[in-house]
Amino acid sequence: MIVADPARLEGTLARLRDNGVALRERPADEVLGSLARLFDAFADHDSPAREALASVLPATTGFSAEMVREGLARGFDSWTGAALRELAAAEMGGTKGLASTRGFDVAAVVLAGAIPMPVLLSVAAPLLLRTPVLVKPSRHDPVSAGIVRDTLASIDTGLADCLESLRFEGELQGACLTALCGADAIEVNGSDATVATVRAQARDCTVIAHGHKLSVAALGPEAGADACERLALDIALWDQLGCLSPIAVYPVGTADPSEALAEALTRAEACWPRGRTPLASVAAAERELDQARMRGAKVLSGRTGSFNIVRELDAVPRLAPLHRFLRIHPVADADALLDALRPLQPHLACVALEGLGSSEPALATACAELGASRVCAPGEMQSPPLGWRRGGRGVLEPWVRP
Amino acid sequence: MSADPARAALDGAILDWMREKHPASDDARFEELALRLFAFQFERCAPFRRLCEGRGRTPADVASWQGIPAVPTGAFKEMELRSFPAARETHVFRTSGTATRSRGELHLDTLELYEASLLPTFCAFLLPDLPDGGTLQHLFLAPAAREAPDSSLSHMFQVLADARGAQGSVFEMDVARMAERLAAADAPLCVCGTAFAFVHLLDHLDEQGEILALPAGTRIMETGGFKGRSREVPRPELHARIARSLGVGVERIVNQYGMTELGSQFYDSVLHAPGEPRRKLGPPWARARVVDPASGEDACEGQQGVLQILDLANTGSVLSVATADLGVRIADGFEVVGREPGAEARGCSIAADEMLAG
Repeated sequence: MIVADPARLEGTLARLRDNGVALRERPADEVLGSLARLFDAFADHDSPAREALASVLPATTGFSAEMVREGLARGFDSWTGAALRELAAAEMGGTKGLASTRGFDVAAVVLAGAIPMPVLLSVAAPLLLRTPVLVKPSRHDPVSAGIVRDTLASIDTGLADCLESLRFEGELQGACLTALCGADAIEVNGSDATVATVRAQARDCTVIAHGHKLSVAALGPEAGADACERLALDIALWDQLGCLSPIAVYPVGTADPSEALAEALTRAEACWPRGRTPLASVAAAERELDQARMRGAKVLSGRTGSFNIVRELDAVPRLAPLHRFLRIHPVADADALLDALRPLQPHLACVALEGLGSSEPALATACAELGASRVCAPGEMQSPPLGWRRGGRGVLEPWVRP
Repeated sequence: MSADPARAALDGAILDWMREKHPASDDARFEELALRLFAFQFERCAPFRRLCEGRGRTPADVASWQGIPAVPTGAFKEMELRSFPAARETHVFRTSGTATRSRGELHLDTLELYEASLLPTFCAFLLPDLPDGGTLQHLFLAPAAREAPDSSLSHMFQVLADARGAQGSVFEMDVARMAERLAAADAPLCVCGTAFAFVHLLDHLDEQGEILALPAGTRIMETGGFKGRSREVPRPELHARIARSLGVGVERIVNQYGMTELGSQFYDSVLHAPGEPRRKLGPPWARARVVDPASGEDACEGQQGVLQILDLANTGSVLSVATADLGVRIADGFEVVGREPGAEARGCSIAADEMLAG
């Protein structure tokens, strides 16, 4: 992968812009067909694309190999070519709609985090609108974008010529950011600060922002006996570094699930070991555990620190050190749950609900009103459908030129 | 002096050490006082006791000062950590903060130890060339204590001004007026302020196209980080800019490592031990550990770890504090290498600290 500098970025954007002329002349169904094959490649357990991700991600991201394989399966298995066609039909009216829809002449995508599924989607969405795309990979996953491009090149070289990935040294700022904002649209994933930096620079450029989010789960008295096992999977996958990973569980008028979750996380560790944890994250977890002890909260930890659970005495939101660090906030009833979730409103991504009886449909609606763009059962949090309206927006819609 | 006899005895023993003419490092003395203070605070500070019991490290289990559990600085934001009755409280120092961030609080029933600790330490690391009782003009780029009564830094500067400030020592927050004072100086100065205040001063000098040459013998003390600020200036860059704009060599620029939660401070060694590697050193009654957070053991020299400070001046609160800073041990001192990285490094899942920050 080539390292970006302002001149190289400007040159790459200009070349992609030129390649976009030919891309827009191609039939929409042909582009959709190639991208559907790309998705099929990643949905196939035995494909070279899946194998490439499974083999390189542990070294580059620090995730355990077992966890990566499980995470890829849970994330990609349902993201087939057929699912992409359904998405195109639902959001764009199929190939007919795609053919008559104008995307941008050239786009840029700033990736964040270390999870590969969003990489595929962030690249494919503009291409489906026949918009060439320049990708800035995340520091924490420098390889997935390249694997997507290589896979696309093996399917459709012309389409692959409309995708470029350039690695940046250091932060996204200064002349490199200015050059990147020479694109007609830019998707930025990352912290509020990153989004604000890009917005400030992107004067004549449409910004599609995906800020950091968080997810939680609520269990009622009627939750299944294996609900904690399924939640443990949601917590273990991607070591809580994805926005669909639950950072807190709210038992609603039911028994304390801390012990059951601790046992389930112990079993999860055996199947999908926690990956490398940065020193600062270990330190943050230790500090949070000590602070919890000081306020009288119960602390449960894995034998080698592979997970940490704090059973809080209240529902006050507190720091989330991630890397399998879970807080349990007991609440009395559905109203108390919604009161507890309200402070999370601007950042809520997914809420898992189970065992809440007749109040569950109304709670699901209320969670959606609080901004949760996904409400599902425990165990399904990390497997969103391809058409998941992340942040309440469609996958393809933002890439339509206004 | 405290009405609690056990506390009074501890304060007395620690004050004796602080008030010695040349207080020296003494492992046995430190250990004995630390363990006594640990036992005292374990009995009187309930949150600290819960921490110790939760970690299985009570006075009955701990035989050395390194085994005393450290209280995370975040706890000072969440709970009132006192080892004395609340009714006897006389002062509260608060950490800097914003409307959206809660502030840590240090509750005190006496300032005696705080002041007794800071003076000899500051003199040892900033004024080693001054004779006993000697004075120097101090310029403080900070609000005066009366304007910021809950700022431990302003209180510290006031104590220094009263004890060691020569005529003309002032508090000045206006960078233009401070620049004028600096330009007019004709004798060595001690210029003290927060790092961010120095950045403003340097920006002002740059805007005016001014480069000063402060009198020989001048020394600079800057402290604090840039958390919550719109700009961050790496420390080497800050020191280089100070050297260039004020005409003071980097070997005369001292970074102070202190925090509201602590009664004692650590300083760069450059004036105290010139010619030796720059590192943070402190008084004999405060010790810093660089700890591997996974094992809780001391990190090896050169290996990054979490900074923990055990400060005998903290008799009224808790003696051992786990900071949010990462450091490395350097010989008999340490250096700060950073804080916990931001959310970018944690992936796309937001940490609630950002959310709580609004």
